[in-house]
Amino acid sequence: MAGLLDAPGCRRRLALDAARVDLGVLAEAIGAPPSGQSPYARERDGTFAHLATARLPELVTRHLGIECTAAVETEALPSGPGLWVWREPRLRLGDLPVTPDQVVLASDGTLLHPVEIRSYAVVDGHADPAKVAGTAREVAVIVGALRQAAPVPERISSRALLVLPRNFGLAPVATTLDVAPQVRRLGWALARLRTDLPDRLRRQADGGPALQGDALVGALAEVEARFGDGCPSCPMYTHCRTGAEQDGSVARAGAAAANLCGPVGLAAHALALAHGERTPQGESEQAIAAELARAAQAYGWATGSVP
Amino acid sequence: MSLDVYQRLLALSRARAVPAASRAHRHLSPRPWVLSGYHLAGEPSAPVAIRYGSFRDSPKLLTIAEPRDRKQRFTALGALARDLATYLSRYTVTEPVVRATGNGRELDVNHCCVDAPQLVVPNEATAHWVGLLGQYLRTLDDPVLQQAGAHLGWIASRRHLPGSSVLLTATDLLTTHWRTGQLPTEDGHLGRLLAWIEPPAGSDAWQAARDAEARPPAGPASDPAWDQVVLRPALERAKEQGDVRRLKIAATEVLDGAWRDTWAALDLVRLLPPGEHVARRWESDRWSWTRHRERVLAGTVSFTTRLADVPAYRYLHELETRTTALDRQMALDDPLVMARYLATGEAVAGVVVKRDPEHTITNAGGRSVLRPLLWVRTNAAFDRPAGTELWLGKLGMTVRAATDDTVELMVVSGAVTRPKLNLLPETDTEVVLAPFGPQQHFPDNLPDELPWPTRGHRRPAAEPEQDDELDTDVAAGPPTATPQPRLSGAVPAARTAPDGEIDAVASGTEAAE
Repeated sequence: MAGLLDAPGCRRRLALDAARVDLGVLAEAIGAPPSGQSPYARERDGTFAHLATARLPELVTRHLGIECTAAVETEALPSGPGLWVWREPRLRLGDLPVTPDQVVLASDGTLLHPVEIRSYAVVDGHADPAKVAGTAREVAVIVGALRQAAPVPERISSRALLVLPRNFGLAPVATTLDVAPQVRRLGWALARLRTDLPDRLRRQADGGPALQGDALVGALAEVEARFGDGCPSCPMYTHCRTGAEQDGSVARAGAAAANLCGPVGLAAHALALAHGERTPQGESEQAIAAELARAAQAYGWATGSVP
Repeated sequence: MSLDVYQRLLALSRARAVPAASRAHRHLSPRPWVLSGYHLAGEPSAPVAIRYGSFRDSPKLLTIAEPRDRKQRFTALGALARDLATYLSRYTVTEPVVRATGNGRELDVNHCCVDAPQLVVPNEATAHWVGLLGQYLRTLDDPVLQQAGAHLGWIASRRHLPGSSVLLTATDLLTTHWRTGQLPTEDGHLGRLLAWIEPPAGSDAWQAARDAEARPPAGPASDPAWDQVVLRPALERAKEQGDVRRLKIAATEVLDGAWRDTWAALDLVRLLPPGEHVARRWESDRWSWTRHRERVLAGTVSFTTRLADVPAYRYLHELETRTTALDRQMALDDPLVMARYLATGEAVAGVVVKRDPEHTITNAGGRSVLRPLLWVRTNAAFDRPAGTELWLGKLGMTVRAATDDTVELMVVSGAVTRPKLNLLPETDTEVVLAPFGPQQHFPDNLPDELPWPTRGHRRPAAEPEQDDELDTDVAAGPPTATPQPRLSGAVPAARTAPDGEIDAVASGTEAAE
């Protein structure tokens, strides 16, 4: 779900989430290598989660001002103050299931703050911004799902506590992270989730049989993709990339090219405009042609060749 | 820049990278120290294997059977530290340099190293890792390792300064000089990038890039599947039976690709003639190395995690100055880079069709002064307003008027006295008028008030010595460090931030869409 916020404006990515496509099945169908985690990374995650959990009450008290002594197991949304661990909650966001292994919540009696433990390091007070942004998107999904489950949604705070190891060791440090912007964007994306799903995917989304192999790829291909700089992190990346290469799409060369060329979608057309071999249609194409022709002329001057 | 887009489209349609520069814009040392390696997943301070050295055919390989064991790590990193010290010891020869000080009335003799070390790594991630390794080494309790950490810290700090060639990444070298038709994020993959520039015979860039992706990553993060299938059994065998052969073979195999690719990138850039300003930029690196060595010898190296207000202002100013200077110097050195300014219409290419060297105007003081006029015929209309400044080498001029195919220019500096009139271009010469000249001044006077509030009641820290206009030597970008010559004693451990002071700005990368 969180990946949805990573590829703005791509309807194919939206369809992927809306139809609850199994990513393992998808990877097999498009022939992509399955993504995995190193055994060493898993070990480190486990060790740090264990260490951090032991010191959670102290960190929660210091950063959120909530007095607590130990985490208490819960089977439902907790109501009283304290530190709560909810294992394998069955939450929903919109009508999509959200099933994290566990949700840790710190409550002062009125507000519930999510607590997230991750194992990437904070070196000299700086954590990798890309990873923090990724975590923020994932926490936003939890916050959205919890709000949907809560009788009073406002009680779920978007101010989360992020616990990370410090420098090169495993000593936990914490900071508060407000994910309100991500929660708002998630709401926006959810509202558009099911608007244009092809029939085959809609049946799967409604609980019908899951598509496999070519049928799945074919159904996804019916929805338009927007290829761009964020794509390498998407499970459909290799598939969309091949598509963009076969079409000769401008977007294959990145967002800067796609933005400059606007309505001119094919690289061959854009180059023809640049070289004056194609008559521009309409005002916007004229502007694009003028800009590219100037670039072509400058390039020709610099390389001593006539383009 | 529209030229970048045009070049990317050309590359895309030809299925081959196109040149983006015709000069080498980085200094290339005749004997660089190349380093590539893997660390344990998620643990930058636990190297598994590192390959390094200045000789392509005889690299050194360092493997650690149990990377999480402090003692083994110490031993292995100690070997690395000694080899680094040996390499750096080649760069201790100095030469006297006479420079004017004060108002230019007094002369001062300074000693500057004749050459400086250069570290080359495959990609940005490895360059970042070098900084982390240095930082880790500085926290250790061993003078040799601490000194290596100080050196790596200095090397890593130069990476953030535009125009510095102390720490080069192969991907940056190649993207500076070639343009591919793939996503800019994909250019960060050294194998893919090389496949675009020199696809093997019989395959186009698309296929070659896909093949490159299938090979082991250039590090420092390893392939999770390789960790599971190859590394884990090899490490276990090394740990239990003390037999490191399997680990060494596995490490040699996966690191070989990145090693050869990095050298290949150096070879490709070496084929280009060096740009004129490259030596000058390298001189700034040499001065910085000289100062760094002096601090190491005096035992006064230190690194801070955050800059105080005034050093932060100076550092930002230096970054801006260097960025602008590098852009301009590259354009003046290289027509292919200047073409970017032609494409945006900031620069003008054309032929001098008419000149009036005797033209005079009356200046504010009422005196008549010589201001020659030039008319240049252009291919495209020049659409900037009258008064725009343009430069032809050292000649500064302003635009008086422009029609669809002619620009009328008045020379205002460089050739406004009779003895210098011969510097004016003859009629029928082809000229390129740049939007900037060779000499640029960037005064770094402190403003009355700093644009950000001072934190707490801390007094402004002493400013670092100004050795050179481009050499304030403020180390390690963001997480930043500055040498503070006041501190004495051995290399202190890196200061750690207090709990909870995490700069986790999540919205930073979100805002880009």
